[in-house]
Amino acid sequence: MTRNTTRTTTPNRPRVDLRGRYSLMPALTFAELRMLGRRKVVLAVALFLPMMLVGLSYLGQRPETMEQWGATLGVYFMYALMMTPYMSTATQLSSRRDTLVYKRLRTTELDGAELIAASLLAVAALGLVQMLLMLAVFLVAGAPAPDNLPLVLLGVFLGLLLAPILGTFIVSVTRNHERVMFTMMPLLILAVIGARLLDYPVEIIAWLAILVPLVPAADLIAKGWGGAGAGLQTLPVPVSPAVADIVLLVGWTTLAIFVTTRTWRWEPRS
Amino acid sequence: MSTPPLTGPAVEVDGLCYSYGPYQAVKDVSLRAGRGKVFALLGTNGAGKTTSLELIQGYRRPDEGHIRVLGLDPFRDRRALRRRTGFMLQEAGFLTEMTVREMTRLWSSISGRIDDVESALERVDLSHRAEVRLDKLSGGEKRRLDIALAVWGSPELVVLDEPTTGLDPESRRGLWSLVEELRSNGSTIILTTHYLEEAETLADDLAIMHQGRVAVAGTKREVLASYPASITARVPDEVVHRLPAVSGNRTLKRLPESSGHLLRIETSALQADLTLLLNWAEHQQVTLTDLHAQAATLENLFHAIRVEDERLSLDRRRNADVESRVKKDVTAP
Repeated sequence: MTRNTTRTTTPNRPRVDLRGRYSLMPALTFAELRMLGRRKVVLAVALFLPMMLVGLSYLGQRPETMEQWGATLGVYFMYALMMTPYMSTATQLSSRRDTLVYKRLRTTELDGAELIAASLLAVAALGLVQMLLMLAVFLVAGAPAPDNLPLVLLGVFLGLLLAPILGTFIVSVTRNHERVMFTMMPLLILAVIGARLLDYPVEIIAWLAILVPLVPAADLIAKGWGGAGAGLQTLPVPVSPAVADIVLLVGWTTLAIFVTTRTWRWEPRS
Repeated sequence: MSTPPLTGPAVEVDGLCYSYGPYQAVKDVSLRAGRGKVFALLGTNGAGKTTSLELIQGYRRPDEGHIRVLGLDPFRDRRALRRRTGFMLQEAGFLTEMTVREMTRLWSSISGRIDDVESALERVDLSHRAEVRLDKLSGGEKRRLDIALAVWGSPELVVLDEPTTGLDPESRRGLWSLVEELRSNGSTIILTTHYLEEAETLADDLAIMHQGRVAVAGTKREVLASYPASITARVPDEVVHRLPAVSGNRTLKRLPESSGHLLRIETSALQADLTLLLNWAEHQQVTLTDLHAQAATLENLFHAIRVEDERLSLDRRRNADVESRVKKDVTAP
């Protein structure tokens, strides 16, 4: 900052940007995407996870029937949801909060919800790319075509919506970035176990499993891919399991947003 | 949202209170920052300056009191104000995966104010670092980028929270020029700083906060006039009893290991008392050695406020002790 450079550059009167508020959030989302592209670990997980899961499915017992393929793909898609949209959101948001990036961004015209949404959209976009990649890899590896593609897409969409919101919720109840590695683990473990228990012979266990957030997404994908015979078969209420999945996913999303808006802090707790 | 008036103070704060749990950080603060002026908010660490600024920015909702910024409520009308105000926070992070140029481009998209990336970087002498990632910048360079983003588009109101902390002397001078230029272009600047000479150089109006309260506020002249100027001199022993009556407060201290007394006058009429003293010395044919006259400085005032506050809190503690002892005596069997 030298004297000769400071002399002539400030304009005579304030110039206000008239482009409108709808251009603000996309600008931040694209910036977030560019930054995600520079994080090698996040990219590596997002891109190599699908290949790794295909490899795993060959190492274990290879699915043979449509139902088995559906159940396997449901579980693997849910793993991907946990690894990228959920975990990346939690680590990214907590890191941004700890380094006071949000404090700076809040001096812009963007409001708080838009700031968070911009980050979540970028992570969800990466998650979507990962899902499409997984879809392609599994089809190439011999998976049958999905029985009900709209149901698969609905499961993916609702999962991609809920996973980043759950990541945000975890940050909202976590003191700082260091602790988020621990606080995101219980949900991760429960979801991984829950998705495996959907076709467990003891009904009550399967019913409890479907209540775990994101497990209904795995069930929807399983049913969409492998037909109605895949995933959870019965419920203690007179509702079809697919409808219950949708209701549960929407319910968890609403609840997570409700709680997060009340517990969110823009700065780390000391 | 009502149409904001274009006249009146840029920032108007009345009876502001804010607490963090049981700790009251801001206590009944009232301030006015006139349009097109530089207002310095001074105070010790923990005085409540940053909390007051965060309330002015609309980050927090006050527990009590009213704030109007450019005629708007900063908490309710936050978005409208963001287009017209620039903030440099004491602590705020950058998106470190970005380069300097990318960050300024992003700012151009989301700040709500228009400026030119190249001239904004040139303004803070960062053009040559435009392609460097933000995590590779030095502390001083980050601070300069902070400044560039705060004054982006020359907003009507610029809030600078300790802007020169961590800057080298030349960059500090550069910031001072920038502040003067913004003021001459009609912007209002609110500035907090620990460098009192910075406030003395730049500020039109100022307030000194201590322990959550405004201890003194007004124009720079008014604030400095609230603290007496001082005259000190060494006076020979034989004329000490003939010293003239001055309007200020006079103290005399016998100097050990040398002859004479140290005269100290604290006065609000520096010129009159100094003239009186010099005339008296000439008339008495006395030489006043080590004569020193000094107008009040912010440093004197700052120190006096702290000392006075410490004295008051000591008194309060003593009174509380006495009260508790009296209570014990009364309740004792």
